[in-house]
Amino acid sequence: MKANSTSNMDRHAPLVKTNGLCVRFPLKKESPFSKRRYVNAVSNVSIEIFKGEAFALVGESGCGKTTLADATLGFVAPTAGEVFFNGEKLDIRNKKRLRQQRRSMQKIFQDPASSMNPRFTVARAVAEPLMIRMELDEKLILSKAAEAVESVGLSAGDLDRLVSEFSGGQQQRIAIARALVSGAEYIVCDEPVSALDVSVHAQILNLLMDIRRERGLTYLFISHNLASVRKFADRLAIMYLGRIVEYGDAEKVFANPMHPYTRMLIDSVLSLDGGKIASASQLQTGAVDADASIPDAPFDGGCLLRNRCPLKKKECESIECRLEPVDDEHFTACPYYKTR
Amino acid sequence: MSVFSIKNLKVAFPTPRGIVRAVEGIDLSIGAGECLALVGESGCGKSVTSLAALKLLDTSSCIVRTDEHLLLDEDISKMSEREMEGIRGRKASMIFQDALSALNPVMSVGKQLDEVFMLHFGLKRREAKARSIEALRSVGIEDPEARYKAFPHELSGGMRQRVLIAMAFASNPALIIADEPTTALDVTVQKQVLALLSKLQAENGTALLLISHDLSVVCSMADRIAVMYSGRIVECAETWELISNPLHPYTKGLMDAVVRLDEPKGRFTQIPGSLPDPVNKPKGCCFFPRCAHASNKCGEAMPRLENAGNAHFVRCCMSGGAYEG
Amino acid sequence: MKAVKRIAGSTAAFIKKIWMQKQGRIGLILLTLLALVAVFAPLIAPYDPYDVAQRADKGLAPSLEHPLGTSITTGQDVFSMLIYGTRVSLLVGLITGISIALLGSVLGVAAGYLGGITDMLLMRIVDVMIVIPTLPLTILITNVFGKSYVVIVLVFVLFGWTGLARTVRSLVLRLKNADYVKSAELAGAGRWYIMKTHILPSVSHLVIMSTALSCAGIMIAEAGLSFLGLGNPTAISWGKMLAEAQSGGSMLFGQWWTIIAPGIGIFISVFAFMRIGLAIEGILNPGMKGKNGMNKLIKHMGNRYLDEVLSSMEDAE
Repeated sequence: MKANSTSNMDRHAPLVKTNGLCVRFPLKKESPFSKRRYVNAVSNVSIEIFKGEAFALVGESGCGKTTLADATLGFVAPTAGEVFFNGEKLDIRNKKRLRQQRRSMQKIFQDPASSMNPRFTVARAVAEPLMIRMELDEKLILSKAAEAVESVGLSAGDLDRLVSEFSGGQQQRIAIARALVSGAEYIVCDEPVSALDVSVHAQILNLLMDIRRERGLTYLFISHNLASVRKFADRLAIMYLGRIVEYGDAEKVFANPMHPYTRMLIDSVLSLDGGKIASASQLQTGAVDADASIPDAPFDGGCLLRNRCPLKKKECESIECRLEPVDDEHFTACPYYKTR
Repeated sequence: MSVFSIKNLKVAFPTPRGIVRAVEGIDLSIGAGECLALVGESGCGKSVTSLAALKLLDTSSCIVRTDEHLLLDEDISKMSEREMEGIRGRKASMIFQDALSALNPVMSVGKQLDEVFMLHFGLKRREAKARSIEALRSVGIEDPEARYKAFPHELSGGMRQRVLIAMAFASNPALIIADEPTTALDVTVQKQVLALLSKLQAENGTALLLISHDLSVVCSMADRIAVMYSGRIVECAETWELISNPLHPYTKGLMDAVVRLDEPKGRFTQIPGSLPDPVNKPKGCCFFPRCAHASNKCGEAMPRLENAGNAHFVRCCMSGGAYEG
Repeated sequence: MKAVKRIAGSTAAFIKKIWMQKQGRIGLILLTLLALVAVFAPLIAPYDPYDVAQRADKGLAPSLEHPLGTSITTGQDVFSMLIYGTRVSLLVGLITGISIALLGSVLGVAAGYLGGITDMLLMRIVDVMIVIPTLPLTILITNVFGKSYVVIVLVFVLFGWTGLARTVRSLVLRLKNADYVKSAELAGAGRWYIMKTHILPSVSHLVIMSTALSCAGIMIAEAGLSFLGLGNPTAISWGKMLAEAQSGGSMLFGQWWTIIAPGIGIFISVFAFMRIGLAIEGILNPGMKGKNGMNKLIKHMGNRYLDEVLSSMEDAE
């Protein structure tokens, strides 16, 4: 148990826990007679997100990270497995209980322009979660909204302006204020900066960091930029085609990435002093760009990454990849990590 | 010799709030086989510049002025829309950020490529098909015969961007403008698409104007970088010179915004504030309100873009420049 | 009730927006005039065309007594007929238009928002309705149920809602999947809340526009049906005026006024609704309007304006 100076994480109490979670979506039938096919968006995922930590979920688009996050919000029904929030199971059918549980959850979307009704004023957009609850009177709600708006670095004078009048970065601030106003303790940040300019990333990520420290929030931070994840997250899970391929303490994973996919992601981070890209002859890895499509068959054995993996072996066709401990806070799904 | 050059480009949009001065006097010149990158935040005027370069701006809603506008030594500033249509796609083409909307959704990608070959080389459908398949292969698409029949929505984002690149290079144009070609892509695919673009550019000796908000994307591609801020170029130099010796505080800020993989956990370095209102731009240096090194005089006069040696141009007085006027 | 109030309020605000546009203002003024004419027809019209005693000689040319002459078949005062005709045309247009709007939007929202079996059922009905040839069926129905405007209105509504329902449905589908709706659901919002705050306000604008345009279309269609003799034979409508003029051989005798008069009536009312429809389109697609506005601005201000822009650029140097 290591004391972490930058966060108030409590490793004893997972706030969110998934247990063998599977989510699959039916595909459109090609003909009425063909068998229905499915996409396994999330398969057999067991993760724990501790109170007060920033947990990062990393992977390419289409790997199922948003589906996994939505499942932890009770937004998507699991096909198998279960989700626990604060020790209590999320039951999608129990709408009443779910609504109460969701009071401590919020989500910040990738594109702030579409995550708030463009007809709304800032005040209305921020106050909406409280308005829906209909518990407080309007005056109190407005003062809470004003407070939230000021805490994200906007002025109370902006309250009467339309959301659509603001720039992307400012809109994302408003979205953060909206998440704060309801007093949520668990916030899913679904690629909160990838629709924004690089120059604005730092402002938004710093804001998220400060707020977490001040209020002791728990984040599920979805991203595909590993460099930001390293600065931001306490622990992480790397996801590939619906499965977790590497999982554990962020520092340890970055110091010693075990799964070839994690290394691929790390390699893909562009740096300023990397020189011209063609001269680095990165073109030979053509197979790496092979389309990542999720197989619909039930687990057919073999590593899913095998068509893109630069370290592919013959055995990869048939092995079963399970998360195995590298040490007590670092897990990888590649069984050959020891031999490399 | 420069393939493309534009001098003193100015673009203004009249709006109900007032006149938006999107671009205020920009000089660009790109040589054959050279890659020039234009970097800046959204709203700085870089996309408007790229559209103005091929006269794609709707002149009924904005006003464009240039002192000189040459493509392959031809003056295109006076050309009619009709003449420009003959130039676009043939001598200069464009790669857009959103490949899905740049491609025709109800036509197979192969057919769309055929059109380019048939239009520009007068080929017959069958000859064009052979060329199209060859082009698909050259952009690293596996099994091009099968992909030829695919519709845009059946391809992944990276594939679509590759198709778009194939179309841009199909007529072997002298100039290609790529506006945020990889912003919509995954990081894993981004690097490969950039490498492809770089390779094709080198092979064909194409002049490439790359537009991006991300300095790290630009550094891996460009020979020269021009940093744009609030409608002006604030710094311009060869890539290595700019990265190793950034003179303008805004360039330094953009460099800090690129997070390095070896940075430890903690806060991100941020540029405070945001772009000035394009209708009411501040007096003096456009970066003055956000600049940590500004002196009082920066708030009064706009610095000139001056050569600081080594073909390194900078518009900042605190880095040894002089004020305008 | 609160939701109804809110929608009414947003509709009022929307009408104000229409008024702010030149197009819309023309339409609204014309429409109000037409409505006043319809309501106060007995006060405005010099004769009562329904009163057999007030008929004059047939086919009189325009004079001070009969500003638009008299009709060729019955000798009624054409000007009075024109004014009384406003009642039928406007009433049929408005009642049908509004009924279509209500039915189409309710069914469209239901199909889009509820989805599933409701959606499938409604959309199949729409598919069937669209391929049915309307005109022969209308003739058939009026022959069976008698020639009356009630039947005509019912037939129009029965076949008119499908187009609107489809458009509304696709809009609702798009809105339903918007991130801000998800975000509201996450905050605990129920279906009714999402419907009234996020979906109906956007839908209502579309519905108002389509009502304006469909009113115009229906007034033309009504004239057409009356012309074919399918309307109420005792009522006076513009379509029937045209039919009588035609059957009486007005063109043959050079009595153009009996044709021009109802034509102008139809033109003005359709024009009014179209203007309103265009104004709403301008509100919903500000981009289109902005471009035209810019062109006009440049034309209007000419070189002086260009100079101003250019000099503002020089200042910046």
